[in-house]
Amino acid sequence: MLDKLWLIPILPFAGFLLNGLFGKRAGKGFVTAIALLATLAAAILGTVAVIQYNGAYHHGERHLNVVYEWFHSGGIGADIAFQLDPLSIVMLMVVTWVGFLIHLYSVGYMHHEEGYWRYFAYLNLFLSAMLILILGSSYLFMFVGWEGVGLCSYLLIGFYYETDYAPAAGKKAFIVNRIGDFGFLVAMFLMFAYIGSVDFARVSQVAAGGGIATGILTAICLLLFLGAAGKSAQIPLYVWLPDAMAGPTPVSALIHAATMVTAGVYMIARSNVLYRLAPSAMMVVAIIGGLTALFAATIGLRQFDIKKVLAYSTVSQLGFMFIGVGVGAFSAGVFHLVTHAFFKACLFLGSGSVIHAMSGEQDVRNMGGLKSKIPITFWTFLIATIAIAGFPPFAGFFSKDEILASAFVTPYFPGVGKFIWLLGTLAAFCTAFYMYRLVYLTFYGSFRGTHEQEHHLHESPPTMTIPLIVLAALSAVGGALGLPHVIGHNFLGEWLGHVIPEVEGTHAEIHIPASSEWTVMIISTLVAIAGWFLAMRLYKDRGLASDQAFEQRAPGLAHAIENKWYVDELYAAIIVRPLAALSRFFWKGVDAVIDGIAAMLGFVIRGFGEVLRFFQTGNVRNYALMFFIGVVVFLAVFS
Amino acid sequence: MTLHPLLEPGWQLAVLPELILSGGGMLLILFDAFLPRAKSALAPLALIVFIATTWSERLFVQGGTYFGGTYEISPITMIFDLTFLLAGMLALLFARDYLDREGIEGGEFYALLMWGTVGMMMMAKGLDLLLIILGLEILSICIFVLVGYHRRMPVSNEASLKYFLMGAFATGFILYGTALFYGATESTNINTMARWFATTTQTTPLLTIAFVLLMSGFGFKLALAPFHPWAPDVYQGAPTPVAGWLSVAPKAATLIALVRLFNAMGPVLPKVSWMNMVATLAILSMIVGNSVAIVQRDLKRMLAYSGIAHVGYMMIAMLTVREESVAAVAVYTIVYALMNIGAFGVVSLLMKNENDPHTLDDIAGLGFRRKFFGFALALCMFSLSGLPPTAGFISKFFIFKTAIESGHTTVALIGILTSIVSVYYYLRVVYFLYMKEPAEGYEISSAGGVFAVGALTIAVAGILAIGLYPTPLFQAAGNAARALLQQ
Repeated sequence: MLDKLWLIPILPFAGFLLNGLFGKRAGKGFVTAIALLATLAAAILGTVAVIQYNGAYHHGERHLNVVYEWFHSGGIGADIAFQLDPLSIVMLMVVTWVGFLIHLYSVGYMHHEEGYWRYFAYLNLFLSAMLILILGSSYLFMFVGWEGVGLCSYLLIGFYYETDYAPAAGKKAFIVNRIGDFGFLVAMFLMFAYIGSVDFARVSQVAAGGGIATGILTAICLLLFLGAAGKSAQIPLYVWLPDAMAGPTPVSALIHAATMVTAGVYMIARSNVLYRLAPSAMMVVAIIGGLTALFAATIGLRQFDIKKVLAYSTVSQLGFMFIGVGVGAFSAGVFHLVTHAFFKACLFLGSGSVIHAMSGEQDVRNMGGLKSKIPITFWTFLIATIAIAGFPPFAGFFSKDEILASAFVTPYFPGVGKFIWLLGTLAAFCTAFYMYRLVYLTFYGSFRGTHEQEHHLHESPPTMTIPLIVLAALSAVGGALGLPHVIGHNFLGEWLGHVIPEVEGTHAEIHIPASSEWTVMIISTLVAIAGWFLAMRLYKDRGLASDQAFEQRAPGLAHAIENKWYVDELYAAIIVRPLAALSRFFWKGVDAVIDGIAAMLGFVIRGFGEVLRFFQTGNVRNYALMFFIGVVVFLAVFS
Repeated sequence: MTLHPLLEPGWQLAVLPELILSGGGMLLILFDAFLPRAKSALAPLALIVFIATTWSERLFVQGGTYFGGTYEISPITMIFDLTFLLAGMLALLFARDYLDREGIEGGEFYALLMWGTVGMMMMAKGLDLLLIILGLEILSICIFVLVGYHRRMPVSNEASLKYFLMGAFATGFILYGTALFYGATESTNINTMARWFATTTQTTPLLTIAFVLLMSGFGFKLALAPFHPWAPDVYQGAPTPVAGWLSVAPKAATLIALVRLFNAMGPVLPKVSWMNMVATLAILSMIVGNSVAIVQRDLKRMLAYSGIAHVGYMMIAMLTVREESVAAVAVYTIVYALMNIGAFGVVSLLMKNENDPHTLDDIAGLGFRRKFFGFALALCMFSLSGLPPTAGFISKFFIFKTAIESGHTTVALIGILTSIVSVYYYLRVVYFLYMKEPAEGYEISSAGGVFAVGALTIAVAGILAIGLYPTPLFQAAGNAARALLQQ
């Protein structure tokens, strides 16, 4: 299997082809079978490969499977090659197995959709691209997967294309991501120019060997981070992710929570040697991560769409992961990526189950009291909420704690590290608060929807509840993967340590003194309790009344949060509209200018113009004039 | 000045492709005249002529210069010949179904396509500015007629006339520039000029004027901003397969001629600011092309502006003529031929009154109703926007990479940024293909027989194959470029 790693992404791709070509006519049974089989086969083959890898390698070396030489020209080249190493393995397991669970869930959730075949074709294509992203052995091949997942994300966000907002949201996601891709591309050009390769191992090796100026490394790292910020929805490029909730809910769980959006974190962890050699770039990553974590969390405080709350929560949690990789705790960032995949997928799928039960309703103002109506959904949702809020010993507590403790003691920028820790802790408080608010508004109190909806309330079918139960269980115990040193053993940290080599003048891992560890852990726990307690006081019995009271007391602030601090409006004003105006200027405006000049010079060129008018081709005169002006200007400038 | 023997031995083999195409064109006209009912045989015959020409390229691989040092056959000319032939064949295949549907098929259409190709081959192989201009004029005459080929359509006539008038205007600049070059360097032969440039110690204002005039004229042929306004009008009015061909092949021919010229001027370029003009043209083209394409709803106009931007990208690589950059341009023209003619080809299959614009609404929901056409157009759009793993990605990647390596970082960054803007309008096509229902009571079906499907298959296969395994093409182009520059 190790020499056939390419089979892993090929299988879902075959599923995409089969369902895309024949799915519509072959019917739902065929589509389901193909899509699930392809995903399951990829997951099983991946697991087999991991087991074989463990037998063959004992120190986390990289296993390389070159399929063929992609191109080789002008002294540079890149291969179509897959690799397996501890970091890829962690990602592979999360992506394939969580991916499979979400495919399974989709069978129940999408059952009534007309575009069932289309949905599963796209979903399989996504999985294929995501596997290329995490198994590719070079930045360039990773970029192929990177763009592929973006394309699938676009197609799936716009899945409900009859609506007005879904296609627009898809387009927004794609275009914002292209801004990030600009960074990624230029970073690769710089790698080719200064390092001579884009192969992960080679780049790390050359950079670690010294001789590459820090300025160049910093530029590469910042540009890569621009790409990561686009894909992983960080300030200022996060705006697409909340809109992406227009897609089907399982898509939000798979692509916009568990896998694709974490690609940026993976990329930075993958580039850890470069980042450690460019501490100022790390600091930017950590600060942006901290700001995003807090900023998005504040927006989550007052959203009424159940999926929007989770979307801002995702942005915020991604911010935590970037704090982790930014302060030098790369394995902690990846650890949080893993636990987040568990609990956030569970939350999204749970919200899907709620929406399913509520006949498509997403507004929590019309929910309430669902606890007894859909008990499995409630309990799994609650477990995931406890995990994300950071209560020990659930998964989210340990991963978030490792990040915050690392920020607290980071040796790269101690003072700033403390500040970032503060941002993260505040964000953690908001997280506990808005998640419990969501739980109380959705599941407690009395039902606020219509009779029709109440009549239809039902628990979801087993294809949907089984993934929920599995993910909830993982959210509860997943923290055991990486316990803090003062309590137990950090398996994940040790495992990932293999891909974080010792490099002269940098820190391969961050040593957290026991005292700091305890301090941070206790503060985190207290903060989580405070958030939960406040939410309980405000929402458990009073429900929406608290939100209304807040709006009455501070209407400006309430509206600002509800409208996401007006960032979309700001972007429209400073970027979108000027660009549109520029386009129109080049289109019509230049013509108008030329027309004006033509009128002024009418006397001079009258003869010429009259000749042309004879041919009834009005524009030609202006075109010729424009040509002439162009030549004259160039002559004036260049001679 | 010594007189060379004008006809070296073996010249027949050297110009065999040109001979086959010229003769084939005459044959087709005669065939149509004598057997006017056998119209359905015209396209297959024309295809055979093109294939025979492609085959004849193999017969003369050793290369050399002919006709008194004015005509060069070398690996690079072979690559460009094949590009012209590919473009010609794709256009021919799309045109067959289009002309048949419109009821205007005739032997002269294919003949003009062939003779235009001969003109381009002369531009690619000519070592004398006069010969290049001769080829350009042969090509231009064919274009005038082809653009106006849809005689019953006023837009087609108007487009033809526009191209004729503007083309004549631009040719004037090229000729005047050439005359000034002759005045300064005492030759129009590229190799002789190269020797002059290599030994000269200072340039004169006369040369700068010559360069600006010549570059402006070529800029027109390449549809570079600000010499571009004719392109959208002409493409919109021309029969759609012709527009596709016109947006690719003549530009490729002009580019290779410019490569020779820039290479000859190599020694003086560091001392003068001429390349700043080229950079300015590239930047303007990328900005104007990409931003104006956003506001177009007519597909052909949108593709015209996109074409302006794409030539802008290619000009970035031309700023420094060296092995990698020439190879990158050569590969880019091939890829551009596949994706752009493919895109125009799908548009040509939309059944409409050809006088009306082909808007985005016409392709709404096409992706699900005509799966292959929809997929092919979507793939062309992805390739044009530079998305991996399509050929458009890898070829654009090399363009920007060589530019950055040559030190033209700012221009390359503008190129990358504007190409990100371009995603917006390419993606909109995909959006209409797959995420829009056709408007109420509005039904436009696309025609398209075996020829068009064959052409699209070539385009799709080429885009994917070059994207997934570009090595052989890049190696061939790299070797050819090295041979060209070592002379």
